[in-house]
Amino acid sequence: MATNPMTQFEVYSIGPKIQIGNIDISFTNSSLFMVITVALISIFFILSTQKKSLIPGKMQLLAEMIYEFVAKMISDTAGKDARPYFPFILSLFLFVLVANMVGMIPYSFTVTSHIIVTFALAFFIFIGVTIIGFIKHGISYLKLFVPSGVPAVLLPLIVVIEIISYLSRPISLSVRLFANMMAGHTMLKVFGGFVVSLGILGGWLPLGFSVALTGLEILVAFLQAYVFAILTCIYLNDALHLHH
Amino acid sequence: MDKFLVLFITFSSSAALAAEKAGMPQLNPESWIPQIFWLALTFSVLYLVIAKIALPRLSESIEQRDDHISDHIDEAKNLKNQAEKKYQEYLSLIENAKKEAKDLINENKKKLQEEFENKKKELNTKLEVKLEEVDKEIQSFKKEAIQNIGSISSEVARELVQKISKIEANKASVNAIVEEVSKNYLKELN
Repeated sequence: MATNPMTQFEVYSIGPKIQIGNIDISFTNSSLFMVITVALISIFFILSTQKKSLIPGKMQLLAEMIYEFVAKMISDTAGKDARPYFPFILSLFLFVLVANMVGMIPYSFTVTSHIIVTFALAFFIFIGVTIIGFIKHGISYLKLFVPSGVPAVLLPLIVVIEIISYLSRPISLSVRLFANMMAGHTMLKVFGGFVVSLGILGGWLPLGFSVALTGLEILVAFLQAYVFAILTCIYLNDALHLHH
Repeated sequence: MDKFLVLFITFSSSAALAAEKAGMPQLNPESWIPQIFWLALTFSVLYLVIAKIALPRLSESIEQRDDHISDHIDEAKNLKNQAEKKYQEYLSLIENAKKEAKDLINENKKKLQEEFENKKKELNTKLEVKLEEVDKEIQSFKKEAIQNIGSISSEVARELVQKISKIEANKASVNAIVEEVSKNYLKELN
């Protein structure tokens, strides 16, 4: 295997080259793991919700726990009006969570460790939330950038800062997830490489680190999915209820 | 806006290309388009599965359960109310029974008293009547006795006379004498 810790992030085409016009949309290892992620979630939910029994089995219970976890997260942060966006938030949370978790399996590929994937999601959320805000409040959605109770002297400065912070939302949202995933996996690879290079005598220490880091990374994988989803809820809340 | 976007993309992709050469495959713009395409495709499928299959089923089963539970709670409440009602009914029944019993006792007491009084009165009047009767009887007895005394004594006197004097005394004369004597005697007695 390659010793370069960055080779794990390489995207290469598997299968035939697919092109639409000039655009190359070949099936890559990244695509494969997206499909795996979606397939895992879909199979789990389709199977677990098949029976709809009064007293749920283990799978149904887990599915219902996830449902209620996300439902509570949305109603706590964005209120009742966010109910129509529940399927999207749940899909988003599950996609990021399962993609992160599948990435923890050795030799697999982490979809969310690519900035373009997280940025695409974040940008879609950003555009969607902005559209929802304008539909809901019309032009007065721009009041979002004018916080109340600010002295008139500071207002131009505050408005500029608010606009920048609003526009940087997709960047911060995507970079947070991507950087966490990439850093964690790089670190795992580096320590794994140390285990090999230090051999049977000195390799135990980095091996211990690797084990500990794996635990930490699983925590981070969950936490980042949660943060991604809850930030989406918060942005949605801003669009639904103008607080300023 | 379009110009800006194109500028932005060319700038970022050229920057990314530079970084990719430094060792970050994430910044290779060649891999971006297929990733975005497959992300959009797979995420759309996931969204459809979640929105059209998983969520309706889940919310249905959860609602069903909640309904079931709330039905049971309602039933329990209903039963409790019923029990409460029954208990109140029972209490009032007991109260009524007690009252009725009291009334019955009082009534019977009164009735008995009345009956007793009536019987007493009746008995008294009967006794009085009887006393009067007895009195009359006694009186008549007395009279009869006196009359009989006259006839007996005249008989006795006649027999006495016959025994002593061996004379067949005249019945009428004896009677007259006895009557006179007894009259005198009675006069003295009175």
